[in-house]
Amino acid sequence: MACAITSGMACVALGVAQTTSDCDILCQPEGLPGLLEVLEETSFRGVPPSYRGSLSAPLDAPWLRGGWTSHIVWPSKEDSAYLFVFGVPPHASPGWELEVRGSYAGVNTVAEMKRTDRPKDWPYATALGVQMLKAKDERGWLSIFDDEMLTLLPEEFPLSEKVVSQRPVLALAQRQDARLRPAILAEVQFWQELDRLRLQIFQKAARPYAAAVRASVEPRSLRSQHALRRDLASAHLPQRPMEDYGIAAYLREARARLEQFVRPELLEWLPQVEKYFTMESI
Amino acid sequence: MSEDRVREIEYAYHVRVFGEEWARINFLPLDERMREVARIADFARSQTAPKEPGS
Repeated sequence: MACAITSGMACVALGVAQTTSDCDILCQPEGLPGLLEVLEETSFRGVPPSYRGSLSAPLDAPWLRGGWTSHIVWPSKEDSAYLFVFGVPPHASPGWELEVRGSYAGVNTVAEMKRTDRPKDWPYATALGVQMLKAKDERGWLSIFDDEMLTLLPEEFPLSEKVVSQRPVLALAQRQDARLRPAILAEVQFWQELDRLRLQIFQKAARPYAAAVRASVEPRSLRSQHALRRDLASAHLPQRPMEDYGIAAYLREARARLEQFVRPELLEWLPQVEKYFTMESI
Repeated sequence: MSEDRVREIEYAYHVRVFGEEWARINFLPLDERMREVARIADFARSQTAPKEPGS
């Protein structure tokens, strides 16, 4: 069973430091009962853990496998601790568990998870992409979103046809084409629309469950909270909202939103993203 | 690949997007980097920085 620290804390270990007040972890769904046991026994500043907020899904395989996340907090007057648990990394390649290094998710997984709707995350993806190239992992080319870097780095690292076929904008980098910068901006906007729509789909699907959680009296122990949330989720929380929405419809909708504000001639440089949104990777 | 040239490009990028202080920290060995991040987090906390996650 694999469990690994990802996001901000992994970035610190990987050489792209940032401060963050939460710890994000990936955990294979079959390992969740074990994780729950560990959490139950773990206090922070003498405070036991609790589920956090009405949107947090139960720490249970059927929901986390479908892309939900569980949020745990150790509430302390001085300094609370927050844990976010993913069963699958959003918009990332399947097979993350094969690339875990020590306590941390692999650099490619961390970089792919940084392709979010938040502009502040993108420089981290680029910095991690460069690290991958230095480690002779050509997937790094897929995570570099800075036009200046994409202009300079092809002189230092090989750029294969295979990688270019996965990310057409790299062809513009190869030939130092002036359209590189607007094409990258369009690409980033596409990823941001994908992430924004994904979050909207989950938020909408969570409404009946969140209302039921808010209407309930939360028990004191994490184990009892877990049992309550599992019961409420069974009644009110669809396990696979992305599958219900339809992956093809989701990709079409994100692209349609992008087309409202991106010049049509830039759309031909968008990447193939289908492989990041299979049922195994959402 | 020239390692010096790559390091120069990479360091300039870190300075441009993260600032000089974070660039310096990012190029430290892991244990020193961890200590520096903890120092900055402690300082932020002492200045009543927001405690909410995602910040």
